[in-house]
Amino acid sequence: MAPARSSWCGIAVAALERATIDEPADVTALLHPYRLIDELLESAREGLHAELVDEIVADGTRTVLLLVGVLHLAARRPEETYQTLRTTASSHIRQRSAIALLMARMPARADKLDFVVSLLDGIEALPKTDPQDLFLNVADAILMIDGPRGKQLTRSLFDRYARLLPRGTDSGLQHFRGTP
Amino acid sequence: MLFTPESVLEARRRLMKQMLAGTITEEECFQQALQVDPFDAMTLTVLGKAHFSAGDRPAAEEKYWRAVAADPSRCEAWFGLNRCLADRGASQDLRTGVLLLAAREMLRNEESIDEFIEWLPPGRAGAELL
Repeated sequence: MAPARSSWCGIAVAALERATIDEPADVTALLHPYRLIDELLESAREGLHAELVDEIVADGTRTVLLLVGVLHLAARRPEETYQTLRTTASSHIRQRSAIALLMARMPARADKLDFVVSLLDGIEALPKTDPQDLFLNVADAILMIDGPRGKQLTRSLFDRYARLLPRGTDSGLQHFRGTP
Repeated sequence: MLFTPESVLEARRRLMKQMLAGTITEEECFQQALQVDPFDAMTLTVLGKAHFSAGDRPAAEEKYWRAVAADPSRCEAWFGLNRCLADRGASQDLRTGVLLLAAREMLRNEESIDEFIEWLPPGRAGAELL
């Protein structure tokens, strides 16, 4: 039953796509943010494409509400979202700061903390100013996930990565929820 | 709110009980639910349908646009929006664009095809909306 339905749907999509080729500019403009989000959802399983993210950000004032919608969707499909974040983290190291903060807001799961810590793997390959940003966001995510217990982990991570971090990172760390 | 807090779930359960007990109407129930969470796509979609049935097409369209923004995977909201657009004589180009977004979502999520078929009035085929 389902394959026949999706075949029908596929035919409908192809026909509709052909019909939109010559659509007026005002329709294109109105639907543009929705189409960006549609593309985002379509490519989500392969991770986020930097060009698409750039285009969404460029249309920021209109896409921000829709991005909230995407987050709602992500909240309803936590497993798929988690897998997408894993894929994105491995292929787009510069998006790891955002991924750390998103993970902190995801539902609890056994490997959540390990995944957030693993976002620091390869930190030495980042351009000069980015390691500090990534480290502080990972530290913040750990404290959001683990509460006061996370302080010890962030401290030991700081000791491990200190040689890669600029001066001032330590004091930045102390601003987070009274971390010693 | 990204993950629905317990307080909102509790408020929804309370409203649902009141509706089932007949102390508030279905529309009052969902209007109040919308005040609790203005971005709840399900509530927006239900209200869109209610406004449409009551003949208040502008209010229905406004709810459906908000519903698809709150949850772009909600096919029934996309199709409801299309019906509103058709009803007010919006351009075929706009309707086609909206239908394309709905159909692409249906293709991504086969469950939504079943949801959509359940949502259709008895005897209606999805193709009739094209």
